Amino acid sequence: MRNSSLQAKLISAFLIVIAVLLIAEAFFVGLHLIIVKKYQSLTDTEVSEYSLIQSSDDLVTALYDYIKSNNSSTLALYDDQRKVLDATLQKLDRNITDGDSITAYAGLKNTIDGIISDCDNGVKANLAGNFLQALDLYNNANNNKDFVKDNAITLLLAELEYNKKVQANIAFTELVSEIFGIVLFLLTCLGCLWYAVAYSRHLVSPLKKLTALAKVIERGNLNAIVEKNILRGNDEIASLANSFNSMVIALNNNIKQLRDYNERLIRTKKIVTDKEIRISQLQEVNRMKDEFMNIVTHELKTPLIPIIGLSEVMGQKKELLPAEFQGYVNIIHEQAERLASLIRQILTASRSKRAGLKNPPDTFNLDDFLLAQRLPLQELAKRTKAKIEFKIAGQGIKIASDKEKISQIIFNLVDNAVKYGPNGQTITIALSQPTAQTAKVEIIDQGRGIPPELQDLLFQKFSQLEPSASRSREGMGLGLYLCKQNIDYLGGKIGVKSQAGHGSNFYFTLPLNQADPNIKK
Amino acid sequence: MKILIIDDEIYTVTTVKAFLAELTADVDAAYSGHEGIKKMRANPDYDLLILDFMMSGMSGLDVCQEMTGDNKIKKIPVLLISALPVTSPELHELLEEFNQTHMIKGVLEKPFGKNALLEEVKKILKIEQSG
Repeated sequence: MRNSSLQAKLISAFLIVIAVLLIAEAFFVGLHLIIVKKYQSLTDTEVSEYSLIQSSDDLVTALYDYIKSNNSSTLALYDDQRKVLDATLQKLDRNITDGDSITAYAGLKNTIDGIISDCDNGVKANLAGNFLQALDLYNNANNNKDFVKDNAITLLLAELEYNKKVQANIAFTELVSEIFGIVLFLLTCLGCLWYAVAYSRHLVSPLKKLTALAKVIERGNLNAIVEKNILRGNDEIASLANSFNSMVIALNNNIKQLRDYNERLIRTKKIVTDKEIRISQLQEVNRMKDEFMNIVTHELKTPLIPIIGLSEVMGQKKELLPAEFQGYVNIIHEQAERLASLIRQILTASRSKRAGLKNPPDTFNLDDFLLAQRLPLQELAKRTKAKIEFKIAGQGIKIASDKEKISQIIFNLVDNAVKYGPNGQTITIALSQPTAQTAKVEIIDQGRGIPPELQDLLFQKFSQLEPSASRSREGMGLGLYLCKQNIDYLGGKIGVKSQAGHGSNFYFTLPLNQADPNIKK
Repeated sequence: MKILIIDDEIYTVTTVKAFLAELTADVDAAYSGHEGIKKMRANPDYDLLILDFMMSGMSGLDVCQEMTGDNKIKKIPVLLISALPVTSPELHELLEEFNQTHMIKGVLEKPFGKNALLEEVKKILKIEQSG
């Protein structure tokens, strides 16, 4: 059975049962018809035998009437009787089948044939006008009538015997058919029962197996698969089993994939956690360092305040001092100032070196951030009465970078501009976007400018414009070196455009998207 | 004109006083935040407070906070003096926080010269006088 569904299987099973029942029914109906026919033929034979006696009697009487009247109407009556007798004989001919009855019937028929022959001859003789011969033949036939009765009785007796046999036969047949019916019924019932049990087992057992399998899988054993013989069929169960199997395989793959993802996640999480711990440790170290640096700053600077301040006050009233000391006061003041400047630079340098920790980039608006520096930058510019101006091209320049480093660079560059520039100059801070991925910050002063041959040396450690012996201005040449380091770290470029006597333009570029330096490794 | 200096370093106070000597001003000194607050509450008519940022015990930040909570003394203009560079994050935070109340009128990084201080003081007092 190819491609047979369960429905087709069930329908065919019911059709088979119905067909078996119909065949049994037909068998019973057939048997019943045979029995009814047998009874009918028995009755028919009996009736025909009686009518045969009557008909032969009537024939002889008709012959007598004809001889007596000798006219055509009595002859017609005779012909009619003759036809009735022939019909009765023909009926009996068909019905007599039993051996004894046939013999008896042969005798009867002989006798009747003799009567018929006599009668016919009597009619002929009468027609020929041979009245005496006709009468003679009539007598002969009339005598033979009694033989018909005798023969008919013999036949009836034989038929009765036969009837008894037939009835016994029918009773037997009925018994056999009843037994056969019961057996057939029982067999049908058993067959149906067997079919129901076997078929339901065939239906249910794969379902049971699938259920058991589902439980196994539920407990977590994903290597369980469906038995091959369940998969082989063409019905819904097989297709269910196939789907189930595919589902298990898919489930297995998915879970494997999930496990992989999970392991990867755990690994990643561990790395992240390690990094977080490291970062928080470094942040703590950094915080402690900053705190320490604040204390150091305070402690180093505090003694300088009276030295610088009071020597300045004293220097302004030098005439009160003995002449030989008047020069010393200026020296004390100058050298104390120098020491303060050195301390400031060293502290700024160590502040920016952050114990190996790199700040993860913030995302912010570079233009807003620059403008927010206005106040502290103005504080810075006060020393030489410089003015700070901003020239910002564009708004909302989003950048992912390190705020603190950018502010250090700007402060350093502005500090240089303030330190080395003339009093009352204007320092311009410009922001532009040369490409879609870069921002450019320029710090433009109105100072003396830098000769081209010195521009390359600017960003080296301990570089300062004046020769060391004549360092009249504060600073030890660390500032631009630190700026370069910071810019390298942020992924940008720093440079200067300047002509002696025309001011300087210190600029640096920043990528708008800085990769997180902690994750890079 | 009355000026109060709060600094826990005695020679810093001496120096600031020396710088301010040429002004015709009464200069008081307090050597801790608590003492300074007490003096201000006793005499709320100070025209200027020169305040150190890093002090043991009550810091300059604490003094500013205390002042904002007191209506009598919160109007006294403050000139902050600090050993920390003006670019340091700590000072930045403080400036941002008190920028809104306009309490801190100026910042000077230690060590500072006489002219720088006098300029700053004059500027603040002039603003006060005209405003």
